[in-house]
Amino acid sequence: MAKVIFKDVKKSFGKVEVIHNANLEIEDNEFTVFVGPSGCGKSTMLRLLSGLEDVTSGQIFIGDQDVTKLQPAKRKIAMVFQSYALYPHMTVYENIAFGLRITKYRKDEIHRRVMHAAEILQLNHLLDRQPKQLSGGQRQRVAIGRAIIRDPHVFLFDEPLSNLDASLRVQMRMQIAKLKEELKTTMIYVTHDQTEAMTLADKIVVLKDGNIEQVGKPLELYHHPRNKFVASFIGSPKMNFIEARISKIVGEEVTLDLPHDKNIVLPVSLPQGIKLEAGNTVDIGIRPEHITICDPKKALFTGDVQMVEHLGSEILAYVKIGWGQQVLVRLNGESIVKIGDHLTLCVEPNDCHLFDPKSELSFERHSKR
Amino acid sequence: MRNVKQKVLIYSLSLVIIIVCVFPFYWAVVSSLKSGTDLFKVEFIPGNPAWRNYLEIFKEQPFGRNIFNSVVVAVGTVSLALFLAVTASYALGRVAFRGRTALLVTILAVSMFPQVAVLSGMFELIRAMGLYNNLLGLILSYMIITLPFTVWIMTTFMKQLPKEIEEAAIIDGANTWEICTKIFLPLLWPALVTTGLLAFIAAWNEFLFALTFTIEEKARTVPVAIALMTGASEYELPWGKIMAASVVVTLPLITLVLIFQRRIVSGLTAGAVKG
Repeated sequence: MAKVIFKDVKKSFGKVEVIHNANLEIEDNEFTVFVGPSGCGKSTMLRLLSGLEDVTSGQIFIGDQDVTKLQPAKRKIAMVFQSYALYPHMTVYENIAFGLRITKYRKDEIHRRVMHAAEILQLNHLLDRQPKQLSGGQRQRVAIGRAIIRDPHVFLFDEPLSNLDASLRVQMRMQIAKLKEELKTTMIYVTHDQTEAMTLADKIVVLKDGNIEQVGKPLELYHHPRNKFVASFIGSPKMNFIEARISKIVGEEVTLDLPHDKNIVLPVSLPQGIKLEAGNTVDIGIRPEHITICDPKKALFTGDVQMVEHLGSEILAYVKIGWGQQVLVRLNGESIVKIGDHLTLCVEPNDCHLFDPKSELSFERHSKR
Repeated sequence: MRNVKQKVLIYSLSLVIIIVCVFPFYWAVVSSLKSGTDLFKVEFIPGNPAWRNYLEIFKEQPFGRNIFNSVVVAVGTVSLALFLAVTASYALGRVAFRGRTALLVTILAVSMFPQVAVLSGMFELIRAMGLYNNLLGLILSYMIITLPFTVWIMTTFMKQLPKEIEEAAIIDGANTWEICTKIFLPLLWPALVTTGLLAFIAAWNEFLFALTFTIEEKARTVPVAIALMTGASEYELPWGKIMAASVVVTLPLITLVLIFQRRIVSGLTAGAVKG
């Protein structure tokens, strides 16, 4: 129900600056995911927005209101914590009702709202239990119920699924996706798991070392990563990076030399402000799912299989391709591959990304996707 | 065979320990039922128990008043000390400020002063405040003595409470006082019982301050009253009555400990294992 804006936000703990000048706009009703490796500042961003931490400089807006100096409780936000943070001595009902009791709501109004939240989260039969009698998934639902009942303008989720086991995580992920449809509220979700980010988000914000690396829709990040970090972080298994030498640059086409005297022509243009010429090295980025086994005549890479991982639905093969490099190939689960096999591999030029090794910026691709 | 030997060893050792611990109290009970020259006979179960010792201690001096004083002083000390300790430990355990560690170490250091060292200073303080021969003076001085210990323990417990619970309460709109009373206090209950009981026992048993800061019989607490009991002549120590009084004042403590026993155990182990 509200826009969120970070304007020139900086945060330091002592002398260490952990958020460097963050500027970010989150639209009304948007499900935004902050994603990044641990220590990237994604939780700090959330805590700054919640008011649990004060900004060192800059401003934060929720709706039209400047909330930079406002108490957490007055920001019309609700937060779900990684450790659930339920009050251990209260029943589920009291846990959910606590926020309203504190703000002196009428009893029947509290009861109505608790029942409504319990209905949404299927907690009706658990209202008399204490947190210690609940499973992890149930506890997380109570924590979400405690957030729903406050009718917030912005929902904040701080790694809500990382304490759950794998199967429960998938289940809760679906429940959160459903919640997003039902509540139609601005939601901000922090995670280090790119799968959660890809499946839930309308918009992903990738952070690294306190900088916002890229903001965009999930598929935008997948197809057009701005730099090498985003490219390797989004997508699983990770993108392969292969060193290659530029043999010539003609207009918006770059020709590259590959191991075993192969070469490839890519329809890309240099990132702004970057100068490269023939003889320079660049990194080609290719996702494991875009590499296929093909006719030896058309092959771009050839090499021996070093290791194979059978995952049932798919097979991951590590292939040594010359120049001391290795690529990961994702193959159909029915393929027959074993260690020592010689593979001939193909990639569509449209599926290749190019990165300047110094700035790690990506080359602009002129492809349909 | 080894198993049996081990068991015999364990049980006989436990028996020895129980005898060493319980015998003095048992002997006090036995002696309290004797009077006159019976005291010098070795009898494990007195032939004709002299119950009148128990009546006389209440008749010959205001012992009931003394017990009442002790209860007032101990309860007053405990409630005051716990209130201050909880509020102080919130600040010391959960608010980051400059010099926090230094303050905590100072508090610990203060608790190591022997009572005698502060006695004269405390006496001046009590007199200056006009609390001499007044129960309030005792409450104040006991509180000063127990506070460092209470604060230290409560701070340790307070630090163990997860930060997220506090943050969840902040987001729910609770202020510091509400966080303390509605969230932390119920969670700290075992710790409160444990420290409160220890403070209660300390106040109940205290002798030196109670002797120094009171003059009239009416204002005395139990330990002083017992110590100052006199017999028929100045050459006779009324052991029977002294023992009877001791038994009377020990019973409340035993009852308290039994009531809160489970709480104490859970208090001493709370936080040791994530639960």
